[in-house]
Amino acid sequence: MLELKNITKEYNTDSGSFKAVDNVSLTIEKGSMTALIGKSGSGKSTLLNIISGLTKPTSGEIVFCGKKLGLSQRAMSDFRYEHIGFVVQNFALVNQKTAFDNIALPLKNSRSKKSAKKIEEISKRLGIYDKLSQYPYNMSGGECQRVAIARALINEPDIILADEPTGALDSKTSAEIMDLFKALNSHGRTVIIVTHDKDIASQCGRIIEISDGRISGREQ
Amino acid sequence: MNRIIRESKWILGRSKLFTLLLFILVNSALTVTIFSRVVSSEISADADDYKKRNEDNCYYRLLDDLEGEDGNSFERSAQCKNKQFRFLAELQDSKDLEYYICGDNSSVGIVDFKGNEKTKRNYENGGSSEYVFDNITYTEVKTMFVSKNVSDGFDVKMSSGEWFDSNDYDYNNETVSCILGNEYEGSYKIGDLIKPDDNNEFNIKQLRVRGFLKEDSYINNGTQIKLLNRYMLIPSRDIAVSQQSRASNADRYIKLTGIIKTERPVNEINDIVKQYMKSAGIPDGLYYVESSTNNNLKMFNMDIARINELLGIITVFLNIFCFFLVLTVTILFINRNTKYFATLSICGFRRSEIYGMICFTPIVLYSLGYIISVIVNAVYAMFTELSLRIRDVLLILAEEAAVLGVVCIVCVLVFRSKDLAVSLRRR
Ligand SMILES: Nc1ncnc2c1ncn2[C@@H]1O[C@H](COP(=O)(O)OP(=O)(O)OP(=O)(O)O)[C@@H](O)[C@H]1O
Ligand SMILES: [Mg+2]
Repeated sequence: MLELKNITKEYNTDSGSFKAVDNVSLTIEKGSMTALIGKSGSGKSTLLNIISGLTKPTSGEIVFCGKKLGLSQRAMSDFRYEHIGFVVQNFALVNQKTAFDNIALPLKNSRSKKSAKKIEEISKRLGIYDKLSQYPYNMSGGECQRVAIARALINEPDIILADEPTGALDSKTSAEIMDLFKALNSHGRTVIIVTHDKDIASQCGRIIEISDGRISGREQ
Repeated sequence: MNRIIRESKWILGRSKLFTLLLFILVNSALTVTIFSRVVSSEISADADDYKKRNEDNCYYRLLDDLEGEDGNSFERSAQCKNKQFRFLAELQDSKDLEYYICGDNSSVGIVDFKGNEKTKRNYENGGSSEYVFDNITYTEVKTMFVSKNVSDGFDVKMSSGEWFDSNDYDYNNETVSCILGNEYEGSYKIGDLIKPDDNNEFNIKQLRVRGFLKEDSYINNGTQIKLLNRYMLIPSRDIAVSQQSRASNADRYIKLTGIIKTERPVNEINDIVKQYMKSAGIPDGLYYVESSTNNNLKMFNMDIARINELLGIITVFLNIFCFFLVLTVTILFINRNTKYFATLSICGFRRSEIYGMICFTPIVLYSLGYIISVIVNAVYAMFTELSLRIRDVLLILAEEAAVLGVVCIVCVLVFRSKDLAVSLRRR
């Protein structure tokens, strides 16, 4: 469903240009669950940002459902708006808003009963229901992570991108979160998870290893 | 739309005081802008009015020089009166100039004066205006003998009553009409009879108030604008009637020291007047056109130009000030909130929605500022003589919309240059 063709992302640094992602080609099937693994700095987040449309690749193209995606900011933001739920690496919660309001951000009408019900449901599933009125700076890393996940899921996107979703969690909560992703995947959502953790990766249908911006291994 | 407004309100609410301050600044700047535009177009309208009335015209005084040897011998000569009236007829019938009689050198004393001090003949120079004759006290008032065409030639309008008609110029009537200046209002009313000194040079037995002049009616005599607020206007007797022997010297004096309005330069008009004198048989030099340049109009135009220029500079300056103020503030706002906007981006906010949020502040500032300043100016105009012209209001709307457009475009470009992925990495 989602096809990356020869994607390269170059950054111009003081010591010359540097390829964070180097000629990556990758196909992600609808309803699949993929893990991206690799060392720190290997380019996983950059690749995920490109898939989400947040970062514009230097070259290459993205084909979604047989249609080439435009790379203009507008086209990318429309794609994100319609299809993507994104959990970024350090959560990106709005510190001045409560957990409830953070989760409500993507909603068109956050004050409606329907919205409140949706938020209640998802926060119960993620075990943060009693934290809804708290501000992020009063919450633990794991709680923040779950708020970020709740926010990514609230609009029920077809593709869920999660950058280190279990990075700040103990193994028990990690397992719970992974169960949640697996459940979502079994309901037909496409899931892409970036992780360091081989255990987590092994729970995904497919593992792609990245080093120095290139794909160095694939496991089915 | 819903969530744009929700988030914009939230983010503005985080710096209420600052937003309020900015709002007041923009608002006052716009108010002054509109105000100065209103004043400027008011002045221009006045100037246009003045110009339309005086366009290309110059005013000159026709003066006499009858005091010397030549003058005296001319006045003693047999045909003197007839020659003078012929000269006058030439002036009045001329196609090259308009001739107005505005004689204010003779005065009339009146009995039982009820008017305001300022209307007395010597009010300005502090002298006495009263004299006693046969045990009756007379008060000299400022009088001006005018021809019928004065109301068309100058800014002389009535506030009540009517301008003189042809009958008023026939002095064979016992009663002569008069029109009083604005300062007389309240002291006399239309139809009142005023008794003048019987011994006046014009054989006027009684004056009847025919009407009152509008405030600030004036005539222009080439060297000055003469306000008529304190004057009593009396018709200068008809030429035909005057010619029948009864005409006094004063009568002729007034008639031949009038005001010439013309499009021609002074040297040409001098030649024309000389020509008329020649054909009437009056020796050269007894009458002449005062060669004063027409400073009034020039000065008036210059003042207006200067005021308008000043107002224009103020307006432009304020607009630029507002532009940079709002632009700077909005860019600061973008920089401070980039991570927040990036967060919104990954929460499924479209680009256009984020642009909307960025432009929300300047749009609100400008449109509220505009509406409030129009209201302030409209209210101010209600209590003053200024008028708020729709054309000005729309013109400023267009200008401000253009400025706002530039602010929004620059801000959107600034935001587009940001790498959202980088701002998301920031903690
Ligand atoms: N805006 C940027 N400008 C320059 N270099 C960048 C930029 N963003 C990322 N990089 C570089 O690109 C490389 C890949 O970064 P990326 O964040 O994708 O790594 P990662 O695999 O997600 O690492 P981690 O596991 O630590 O999150 C890094 O070496 C990083 O320094
Ligand atoms: Mg990363």
